Amino acid sequence: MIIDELEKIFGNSLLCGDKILITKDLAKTIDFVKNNYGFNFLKEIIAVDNQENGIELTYHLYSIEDNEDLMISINVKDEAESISKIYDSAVAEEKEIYDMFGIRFTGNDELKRLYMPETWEGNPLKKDYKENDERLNWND
Amino acid sequence: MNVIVTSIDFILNWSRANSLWPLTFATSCCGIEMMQTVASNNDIARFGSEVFRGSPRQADLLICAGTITHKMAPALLRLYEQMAEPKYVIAMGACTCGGGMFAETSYSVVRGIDKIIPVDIYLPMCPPKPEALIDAIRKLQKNIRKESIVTRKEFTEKHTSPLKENCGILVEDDFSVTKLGVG
Repeated sequence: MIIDELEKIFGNSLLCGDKILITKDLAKTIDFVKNNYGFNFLKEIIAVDNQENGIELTYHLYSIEDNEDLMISINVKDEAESISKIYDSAVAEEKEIYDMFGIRFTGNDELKRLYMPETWEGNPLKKDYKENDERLNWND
Repeated sequence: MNVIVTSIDFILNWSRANSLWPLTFATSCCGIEMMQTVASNNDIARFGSEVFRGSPRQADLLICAGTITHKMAPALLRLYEQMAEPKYVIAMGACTCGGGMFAETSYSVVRGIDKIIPVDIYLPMCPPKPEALIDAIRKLQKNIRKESIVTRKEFTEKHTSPLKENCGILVEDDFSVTKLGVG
C-alpha cells in the first residue's frame, strides 16, 4: 500500500476518506509517488478554504498506465511548496490558487495573478473576502 | 447657416447609417448569436452592416457581445478609443447592459459597459435573438439619421468613465501589449 510506504519513509501520512492527508514534505512526497508508482499525470489541484483550519490543498494525481487515481491533501496557512518542478502543468494551477486564495507557492518562479487584474486587492474565493476594491464602486 | 448644417447632416447621416461596419468583438455567448445574425438566414448585409472588421481602425460600430470582466475592461476601453469617429456602441446582452445574472454577487464582472464607454443602444435578453440584434441596428440607424454633428459631440463628451478618471494609470500598466509579449 502506498500509505504504509509513505508512513515508513516520511512519517507524515494519514488516511482520510479517499485522500491521503499529509502534514509535511509535500514536494518530496509527490516526487516519490510519481517516480515509484507511476503517477505521471496531475489532474487538478483543489483548494478549499476551511477558515480556522487553514486552506486544504488536494493534489489529484493519475496514473495513465494503471488507470488509478491518488489524492494527496495538505492543510496550509498562506504558504506552500510548489510542485511546478515535478509537474509542468502545476504552474498554471498554482497561479490560479495564488490569485483566488492568496497562497504563495515557494519555488514557482512565474507566480502572479491569472484571472483578476494585477492591481486587484484581496483574494475573491476566500471566505473572509471583503469587496473593497475601488473598481467595485462602479457597481452602484 | 442652419440650412447648410442641415443639408450636410442629411448627407453625412445617410451615408453613415447605411454603411455601419461592426467590429468583431464577441466576448462570450452573445457572440454566437452575432455570428448567426451575419449568416445567411438573418443577413444583416440587407441593412448595410455586413463587413465585420478585425481592426478597430476600420470599424464604425462596436457590438459588445458578451460579459465584460474587470480584467477585460481596459482592453475594451482601448479598443473603443482606437476606433475612428464617428463611432457607435450597441451593448448586446443582459451582462453588458447591467451585469445580467452576475449583477448580485460577482467579484469580477463590470455591471454594464456604460461604466466604461458611452452606449447608444441597449439590447437586453440573454442572449438576444438575431432578430433582436437586427432591430437594434435598425434603431441605431434611425438615431443616426436624426442626429446632428453638434449633438453627437455633446453626447460623447457627456459620458464619464471611472476607468479613465480613477484608474487612468491602469490602462497603461495593466493591459499593455508589450507586456504580454505580443509586439
